Order: sequence, then C-alpha cells, then structure tokens
Amino acid sequence: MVNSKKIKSLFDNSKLDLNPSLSSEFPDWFQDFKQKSLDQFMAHNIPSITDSEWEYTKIDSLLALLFNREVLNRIDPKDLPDKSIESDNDVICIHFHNGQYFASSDLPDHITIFSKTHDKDIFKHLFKLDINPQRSFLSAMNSIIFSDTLLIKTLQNQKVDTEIHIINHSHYDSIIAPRLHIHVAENSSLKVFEHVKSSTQSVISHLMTIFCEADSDLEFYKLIEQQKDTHFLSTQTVQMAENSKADFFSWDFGGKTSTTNTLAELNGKKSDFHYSALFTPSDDHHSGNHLRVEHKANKTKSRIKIRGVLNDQSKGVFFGKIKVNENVLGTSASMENKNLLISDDATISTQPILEIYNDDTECSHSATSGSIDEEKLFYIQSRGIPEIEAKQYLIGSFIKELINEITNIKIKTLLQSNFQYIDNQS
Amino acid sequence: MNIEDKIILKISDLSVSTDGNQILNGLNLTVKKGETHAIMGPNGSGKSTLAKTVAGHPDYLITSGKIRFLNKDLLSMSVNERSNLGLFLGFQYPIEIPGLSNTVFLKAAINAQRKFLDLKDIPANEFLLQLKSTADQLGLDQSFLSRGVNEGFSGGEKKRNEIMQMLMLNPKLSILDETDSGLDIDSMKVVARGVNSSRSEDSSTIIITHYERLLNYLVPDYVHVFFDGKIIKTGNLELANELEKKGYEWLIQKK
Repeated sequence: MVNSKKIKSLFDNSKLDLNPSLSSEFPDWFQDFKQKSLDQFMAHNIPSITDSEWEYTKIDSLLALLFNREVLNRIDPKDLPDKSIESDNDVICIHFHNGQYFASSDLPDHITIFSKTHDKDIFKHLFKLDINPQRSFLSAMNSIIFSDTLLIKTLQNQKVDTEIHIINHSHYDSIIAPRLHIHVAENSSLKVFEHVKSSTQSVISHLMTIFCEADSDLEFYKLIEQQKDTHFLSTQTVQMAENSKADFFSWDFGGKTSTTNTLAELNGKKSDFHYSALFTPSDDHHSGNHLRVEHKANKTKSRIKIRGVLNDQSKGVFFGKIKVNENVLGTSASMENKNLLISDDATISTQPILEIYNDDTECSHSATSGSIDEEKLFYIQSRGIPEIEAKQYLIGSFIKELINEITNIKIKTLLQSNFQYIDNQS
Repeated sequence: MNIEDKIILKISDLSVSTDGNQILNGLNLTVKKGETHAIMGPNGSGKSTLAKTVAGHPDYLITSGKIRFLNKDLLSMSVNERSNLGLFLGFQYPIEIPGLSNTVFLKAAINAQRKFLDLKDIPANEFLLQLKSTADQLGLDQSFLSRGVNEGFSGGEKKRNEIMQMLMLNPKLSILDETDSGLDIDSMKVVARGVNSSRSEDSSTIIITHYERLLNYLVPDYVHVFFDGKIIKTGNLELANELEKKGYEWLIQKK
C-alpha cells in the first residue's frame, strides 16, 4: 500500500522546493532530524480504516493527495495574502503562507521564527521524534513536510498582555505543515490565537507542543475555517507543571478530513487544564477528536467540554480518555461531549473513557447525542419564525454555552460571526 | 361588511388523530371578530389537540375537515405563516430554550411578522421601549428579558411570558391553552388584565380552561363543552358556573 519511492520523492521535493531560504545555512542536525522523521514515517504502518482512530478518515483520498501528484509548493505572487499588517497595539500578527513565515508586525524577543533566526540551535531540542504510537504517524508526517516553525517562549515573570495572532494562509493544491511550539515560563502569562484560513484540495499537517512551567497561565484559541476538499491532520501535546493553568478553545469548521489528536499531561500538582472544543462537519466530511488527559500529580484539575454539530452525511468521532494515576490524590476531572445531529444521515461515535487508579478522585463524564428538539422547533416557529431560521437559533443556543466561556471579547465576536444566529444576550 | 369578513376562524367537520388515536371527531366551531370563546371539558376530550392542530403541530394528523382562518385555508399554511397571519397559541407547557434570550427571540418573531407584511425591521429602541413597558404591565422583572426563553422560570413566570409574547405580537386570534393552570390568584389577575387589554373589535380569543375563575375575569361570549372530540354543549358564563358546581358527568349522561 505504501509506496516508499513516492514518500521519498515527496521528501526530496519538499526539501528542494519548499523554500529557497532553506539551504546550506541550515544546520546538519536539522537535516538529520528530517531524515530520522522520514525513517520513522516509513517504519510506521500508514493507518488504515481498521484502526479505530482512523475508522472514518478518508485515507485513500488523503494518500492520493499526498503521493499521486506533484508537490506544488512554489509560491505564486498572485496567491499571496495581503502583506499589509494591520497595526494594532493590542495584537501582534504573524502570517504564514503555505507553512512558511511571510509577514508580521515587529516581533518582540519572546517570538522566534526558525527561517529568520540566525540562532537555529535554540530549536534543536524541540525537533525530536514523538515515539508515542498514537501520534507518531501524525508528528512524523509534519516533521517531513514542515519548512518553518514558530517558537513563542516567555521569560520568567513576564506577563504578556499583547495577544499573538498566528494566521496560516495556504493556497489551492498544497501540502503544508504548520509547526508551533509554545513555552510559557515560570510565573508568566500568554494569550495566543491561531487562525487556519481555508484552503482547497490540500493536506495540512499541523503540529503543536505546549509547555507550561510552574505558576504560568496560557490562553489559547484555535479557529480552523472550513477546508474545501482538504485534509487537516493535527497533533498537539500540552505539558503542565505545578500550579500552571491552560485554557484551550478550539473551533473546527471541518474539511474532508479534520482530525485532532491531543495529549495533555498534568505533571505538576494543582495544574489546571481546560479544553473546550466545537466541531461542525458537513457534506460527507469526517471530524475526529481524540483527546487524552493524564493526571500525574496531586490536586490536578481538568475540565473537558466538546460539542459537535453534524450536518448532511458527515461522520464525527469523539474519543476522550481521562487517566488518573495510582499514586495521585485529590484529582478533579470532568469530561462532557454533546452532539447535535441536524441531518438524519449524519452519524457520531462517542467514547468518553475514565481510567482511574486512585479513589481520591472526583470525576464525571457524560455523552449525549440527539437531533433537533421538535418541540423547541415548533415553539419557535409558532411565533412566526421560519423553520430554517428556527433551526439556526437552536444550533446557536446549543453552542452558546461554549461561547459564554470565552472572556476575550474580540475573539468571541470573531467566532460568533461564523454563526448567523448566535444570540449575544443570554 | 359581509358575514365572511366578520369570521376569523371557521372549523368544519374536523377530525384529527395523533399516535394512531382519533382525538377530534367532526368538530365544528366558528369564531367571529371581537368574540371570546371558552372551551371546557374533561381531560382527554380534545381541547389541547384542537389548539395544537390549529397552530400546525406536526404530530397531529387531519383525517377530515377544513379550517379557514381570515377566509384563507389554514391547513395549507406552515406553522410560521399561521403566526405571521395573526394566530397565536399560548402554550399549556411553554418550552425552555436555554441560550436564546427572550429579547432576541421576541425581536426575531416581530421582525418575521413584519417581513411577512412587507415592513422594515422594527427600530431597536422602539422595540425595547415596547418590550419594557409590556414586561412592566405583566410584572415581569427586566432581568427576565435577557434570560434564555423560559429558562428556569417558575410556572407562573412562564405563563406571564406567554402573555407578554402575545401582547408584543398583537395577534388577530389567540388560543390560550390552560394559561391559568398553576397560577396563584394574583398572577391570574395579572394575566387576565393582560388578556383583557388585548381585546378589541378586530381580535378574538379562545380560552381553554378547567376552571371558571379565569372566565369570571374575562367573561367569554360563549362557553363550549368538549367531550369525545366534539362540542356537546354551548352556553355562556352561567354554563361555566354550573360546570364548576356539578362537574361534567350530568352533561355526558344527558348526552
């Protein structure tokens, strides 16, 4: 099934074509890393639909995009996004095009871009193989393809009020691999918003690692616009030290495949992880949401809230596992998945799993799936509102709870604008 | 004005089933402009079925008969068109919709009606003034307006909210399905005052109730007794008073 020559040619092409700046000035260890990633990728069996995590993924069409045509990564000037960066004192905007740094406002010291920096060695420890079997395929794929990387690393005690906006543009028919590393240093705080713009007939392999040191505070927002005939594959890990706090919001409007694999490790006591996500597949799209949270220290807390709105013949998967280790005390964990099927042909498979090895744990989990409530629909229509609009109001009311959790007004407004009938008042 | 123009609702030989059970059996009822009709009758006699059928609930299957509303064929209209044309159903059990505020919901409803009438959207401040004064009239605190529709409301608050929607939408025909159930005396007076304030020569009301108490405040022109899916007796307020004393048995036996 796997044509190793084609994978090899993909790697060679990307190395040669991806960007002219990626040349001899890149250290040997970088090339080594790419080679090792390729070896890992080749050694790994490409997932098949018999693997439960890949059950509904359109693997054939994904592989066809990956291997059966030329890799087009040359940048055509007419495809470039507008280079003028809005000047806004509250926000730093960083634009990537086809995975490559493109433009930004003036960058402060805590932001480093791999292709621009002369001190590439600071990235060395970040580029390492992920040996976890659940993620190694996704991470190796990113490692082969990626050509640029963004590192955001705060200093100790640094409270960064200016939001960082990362905008990932891509154009028709591309294979890109955005890569993002966030390191929130001790007693520092950071707000990041990542916006993945829509693309057509592309493969987007996304990788992110987050490390929260002791007493740090991170707010992270991710918006993935609807990707037409595109496969969006994402792997992300979050590691949390003592007393750190991370609030994570993800809004995924889907693509042919949109799958996110998340691992959060609560390694330090009293660390607090909050993950709130929405996915809205339509047409014959597949949305996979795989999340693992591991409580590895005392008095840690996790709150997971996932909502799916599924239309047409789309298929959704939620797999969530909370694991509490044996010697860990005072854990508080909750995981909730609710799905609204707005078409008779849409399907959802949901699996919230608890694996608890210590009795001193407060833990709850729930999963519900259902179609639009006919009595609510009738009530709204009986006040003169047409059926289509009434359904939109009910969808809006379904996701309202997620929106209410967002305190950042600008981002809240942007996210809400994707829905016609979200009510701002209740 | 000819007789057809005076009629708001004309139900002829209406039979309705739901879940395979025949509930209405050849019902006839005519309501003219300015009239208030009360419908009473034992549980299961078809009162709520009539209300939901007229409003267009999809679970109710019309097996025979016709309904004309303002001289148009009601049964060919969608639920929202019936409302746009001036029909209002006050629900026996108002539905809770968390995440959609009363204000946004009502504004959408009013604008849907205005769109149907080829009018522009209601100006925001005009809407808010009207909403606040209506809420005051019904003793609903302003905080209710920004809460989710009926979300966490008490029984009495839900019923007042129904009347608030009715007053805001200014319908031609209101069908109030047990709006008095679960109300204390003070709430009932408030609701009755609300309904009375909406009465006019052009609009009509059908009140479905088990008790004469609300009718003493509203004084209907006709009181109908439902049994087995049709009207078995029609009278006035005196009939309601008699039913309060004697129950329904004597009427059913007489039949």
